Amino acid sequence: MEWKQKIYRQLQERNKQERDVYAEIVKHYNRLIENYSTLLIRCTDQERDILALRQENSDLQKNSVSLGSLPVNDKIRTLEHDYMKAKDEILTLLRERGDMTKEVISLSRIVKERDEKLYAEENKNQTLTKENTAVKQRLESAEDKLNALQRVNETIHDEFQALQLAYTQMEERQKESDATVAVLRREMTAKIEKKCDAYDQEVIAHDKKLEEDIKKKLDEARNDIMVTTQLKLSSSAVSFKSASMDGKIHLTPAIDSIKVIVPTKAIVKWDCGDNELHAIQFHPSGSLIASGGSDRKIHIWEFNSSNYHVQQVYTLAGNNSTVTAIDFDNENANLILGCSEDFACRVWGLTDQRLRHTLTGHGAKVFCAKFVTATLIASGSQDRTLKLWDLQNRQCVRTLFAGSKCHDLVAHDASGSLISGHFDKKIRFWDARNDSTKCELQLQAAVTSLSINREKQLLLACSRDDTLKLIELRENRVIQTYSHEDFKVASDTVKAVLSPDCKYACAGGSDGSVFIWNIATGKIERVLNKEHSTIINAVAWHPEGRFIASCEKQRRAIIWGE
Amino acid sequence: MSIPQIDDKEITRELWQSRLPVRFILSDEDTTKVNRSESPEPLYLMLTRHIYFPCIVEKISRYYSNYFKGNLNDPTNNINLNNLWFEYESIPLKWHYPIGVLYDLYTSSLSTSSSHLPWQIIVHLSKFPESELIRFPDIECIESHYMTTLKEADALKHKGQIIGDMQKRDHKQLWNSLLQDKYEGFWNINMKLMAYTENLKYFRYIPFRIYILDKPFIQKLFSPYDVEHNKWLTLFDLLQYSLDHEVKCEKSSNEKKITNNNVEDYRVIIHGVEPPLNTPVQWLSEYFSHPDNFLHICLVENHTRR
Repeated sequence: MEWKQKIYRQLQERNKQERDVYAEIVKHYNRLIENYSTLLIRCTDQERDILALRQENSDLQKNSVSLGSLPVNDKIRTLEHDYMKAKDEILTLLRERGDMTKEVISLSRIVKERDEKLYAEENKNQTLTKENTAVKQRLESAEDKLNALQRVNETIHDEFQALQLAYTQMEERQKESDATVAVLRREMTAKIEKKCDAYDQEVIAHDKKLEEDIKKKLDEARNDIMVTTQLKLSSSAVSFKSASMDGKIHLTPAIDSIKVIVPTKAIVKWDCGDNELHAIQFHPSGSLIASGGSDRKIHIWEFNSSNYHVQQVYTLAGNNSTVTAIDFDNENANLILGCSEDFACRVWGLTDQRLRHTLTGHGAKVFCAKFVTATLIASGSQDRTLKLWDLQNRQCVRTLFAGSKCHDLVAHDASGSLISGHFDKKIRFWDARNDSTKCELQLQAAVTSLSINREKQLLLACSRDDTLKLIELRENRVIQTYSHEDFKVASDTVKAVLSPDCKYACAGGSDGSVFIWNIATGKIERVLNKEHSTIINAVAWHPEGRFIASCEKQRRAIIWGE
Repeated sequence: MSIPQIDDKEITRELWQSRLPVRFILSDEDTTKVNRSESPEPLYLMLTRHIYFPCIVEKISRYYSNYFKGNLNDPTNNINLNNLWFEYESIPLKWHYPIGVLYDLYTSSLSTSSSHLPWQIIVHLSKFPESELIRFPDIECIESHYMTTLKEADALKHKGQIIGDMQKRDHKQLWNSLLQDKYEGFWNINMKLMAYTENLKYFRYIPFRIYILDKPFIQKLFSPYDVEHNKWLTLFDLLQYSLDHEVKCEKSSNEKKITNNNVEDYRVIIHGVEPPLNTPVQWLSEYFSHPDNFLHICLVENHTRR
């Protein structure tokens, strides 16, 4: 490819000759041309400036030339003269100017003073006008107040007169009523006196009658009493007398018709219920027995005392759990009260076997319930409270907080004072009026049952230390303790009862024997055993005193008699 | 001795970086009409060989307008830019030839002295030779002249397929790269125009023009490859064929006859150099054309035969 080589070489030659030699020169040449043209422009500008300056110069020269025509001395004199004149004029003018400025100052001062005075006057004027308006306002308000007060005054005056009239009227009425009151009072005092006299006479008559009755009975008793009982009676009568020394002559009439016999043998045995028996109770008439137990029912049995026959009359159902205690009312209302472990007490009517009331409210098992009156029931429960229920309102009227499980309670009197025996070994006496304990009696062991005599003077308490304690209620102290080597209290609810004439105490033991103590001597009177096989939970005396009913854990109930 | 292989790219780069020093002098009769105290200095410019004169008219007119008081754009004035025309040694220069071509044609044939640099051109602002020149146009005319030439070249080479497929912005890029002297921008597009079509390894016909002094240019259909003899045709073949064909054609016409059709009587100048006559024409067309894709060949009578 030499042609390519040749071409290339020729191109390089050409470029060298044509371009390289001249490029630099042309560039510099062009730059010089530019500089030259700018210089030219500047030069022309400067020439123009020079021309202008020359022109000015020539003008100035022309002006200065015209001054050199006059002779010099004359000129100087005239100039001096003119100069002096000018100076004088200046002086006078300055003096005048000074005077003028002084006048100006004084005048301006006067003007200022006048302005100030004017300003002060204006201020005074303003304040006075303000005061004027304020005073006017006060005057108006005062007038308004005056008017209002006058009106009020009038109304008050009118009211006063009206009240005055009313007052006079009232006074007259009062006088009249005073008179009537005095009259009525006199009549009332007269009537009261009459009534008191009548009462006094009644009491005297009653006393007389009692005395005559006692005399009669004593005569009768003297005639047909046996030797031993006479002894006992005399001894117990002694203690009795001592107990009843002051004033309570509340002997129930039925005491003379009670012939308490200590039973010797079992007369009737029968099984009642399907399970354990916890409570047994005689009806006040003596012909009905009520038993209750784990079968949740209360069985009513008719007891024929002549042929010693027991038959079931009817069953009262309604409890939801084990029956723990039964009580009959003693005011001939024919009500039976059963309390059970379903936290409630129930009242049935005996004539129609109808459930009358259900008393709920306790928080735990109800261990005991008693009729205080036919309309007031007391119940004690495991929830450590005692409740008083009113059957007319069907409500709990009082709740007494005992602090310990109540195992048994008795009513002290009809107003609602109670005595309760508790798990914490205390017997508490409750007041009818307030909710606190009147008194507390401490025993050695938990109290399982209480039994009170008809006169409400003696209390029999059975306690877990296997003893019975007799407590005298006026002084609230234990006077006797009864025990036996075989007598063991097996549970917290074993019942011990006093006989209706209060000569004997009876309780059931854990081995199935019934123990009877003599109250006065304190010794065991009789032990009835061999008939029951298990723990005896409850015993009850026949109201006439001839029979004892006992019920054991194993469904068996036995009536003991002669 | 191994000859180092010369990359075609180097040659094209050298071509692109061609410069001609030109001196512009104001004509005598116009100098007398100059408004300032001194006459204008001659204007020296380094001009690229392959652009056209109207591309630099702007510069020249700006320079000379400093020296004239009146408005040179006023057509009523005798001296104005509309009358601008260039002259070299009493020859008015045609504006649609590349500057390099004009230089080679006139300087090589007219004077005998070897160096004609800087090329002295006389600037006229009056007395426009109506019979010989068309007035210098504005820049859009030059652009359209260039594009027309380019399309003609592509028509000869590829039946006009490639130039037709190119987008307008490529055409614009060619022209703008030419004006702004951007080698990369130009050859990016120009390379597409040097491609082959129709499964040929050469152009269909070579676009070329032969310039001889005082005669109109010669343009013939010439294929770069001889299919019969299976060889690449050279520059010599092209020139010989063209001259013979021209002489044959002119047997019918009258003036401007080419008398000599002997190639060796002429100096062959392209881009100011004389390439060896055995150079393959295909290569010349690809790498040695002007930016308008034509081979502008100047034939100068060889007076000094040594």
